[in-house]
Amino acid sequence: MTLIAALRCREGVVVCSDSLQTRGARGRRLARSARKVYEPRHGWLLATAGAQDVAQEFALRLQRTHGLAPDADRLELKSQLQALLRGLREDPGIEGRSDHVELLLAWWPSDAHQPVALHLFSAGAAEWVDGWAFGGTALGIEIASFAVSTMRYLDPARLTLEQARMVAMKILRDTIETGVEGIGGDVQLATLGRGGVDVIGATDVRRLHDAVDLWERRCAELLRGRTSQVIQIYDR
Amino acid sequence: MIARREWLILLAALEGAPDGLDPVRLQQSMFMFSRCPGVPLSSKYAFEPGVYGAISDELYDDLDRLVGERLLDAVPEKGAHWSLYKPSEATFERARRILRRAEADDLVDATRQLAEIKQYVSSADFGELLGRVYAEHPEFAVNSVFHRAAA
Repeated sequence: MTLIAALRCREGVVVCSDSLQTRGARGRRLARSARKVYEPRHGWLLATAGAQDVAQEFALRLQRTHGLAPDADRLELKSQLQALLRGLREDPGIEGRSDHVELLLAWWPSDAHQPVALHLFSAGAAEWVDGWAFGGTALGIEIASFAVSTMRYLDPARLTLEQARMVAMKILRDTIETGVEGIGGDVQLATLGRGGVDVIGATDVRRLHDAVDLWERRCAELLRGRTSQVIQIYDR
Repeated sequence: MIARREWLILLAALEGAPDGLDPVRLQQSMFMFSRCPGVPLSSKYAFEPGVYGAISDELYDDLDRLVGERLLDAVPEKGAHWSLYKPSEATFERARRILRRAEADDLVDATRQLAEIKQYVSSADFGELLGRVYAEHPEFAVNSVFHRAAA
């Protein structure tokens, strides 16, 4: 269970996820923190939802595959990625191979004006990402999609990468805070811009949280003047 | 010499915002203080243009340390991810000692400037505060999402 998201903006792609990993049957479930956003090979971004052993194996195989160049034809790359996942799901050595898996991938061909982002499903389907894409647990996707709809006044195609990071942070953390089962922990983020991949560290995550809080407080200021007044009204 | 984290303690203890200050106000306060004439170099945090304005990672680290040392209380703010950094009894006690040293070190003017900044940030809303920082120091607004969004 996971929530992963990709957001294409004016300057690149933001890929993000929650960080909770759960294992075991209902009522005996263990939870721990897990990395779900990677740079598996130079210039590539990957977020994974589903069985962790499948996700890790996919990242490893993606890292080691020869001839997987971002400059190759995007349809050819899509076929290669689908074949990579298919091969993994047929491998009897992988415990969770038959479980549902979703992958979000992004790369930037050197001669292209725009990056490429792909949503890959374990059954073999794939969709090119334009604007937002979500993967993972159904309720998480529903809530995150609703959160996006409340910000429909923001056109992803006009956002800078910094702005897109902040918007993605808000969507993910708002979804996490609803307490959907299987989604939790802090937000993991990475960006793909013209200059390459940037996996956001803890310091920048903190800055982003503060920026989102500030954004929300400025919205409150527009409604009611001082933020504290708005909170007092809610408290009554 | 008064270390920069001691000025941060003093800022927290000075009059204004009795419920504490959020990280954005603390960052912008210490940034404005670092721009005041007569403030010793060793008392200043190093700032960079960040996602919402002037940001110092050292200041964030000092906030964490001061909370760990119980020289500040971090009070979660309802409806926000951040905490308000509120002075405790230990903050006031330490601040009184810092004030005495500031007087002995001929830093009364710097102390007065910090008190004025505290009064200002406690009463200004975020739009006004950031508007002032961006207007007076546009080089620290270049990476701000808000600045660029408004442009």
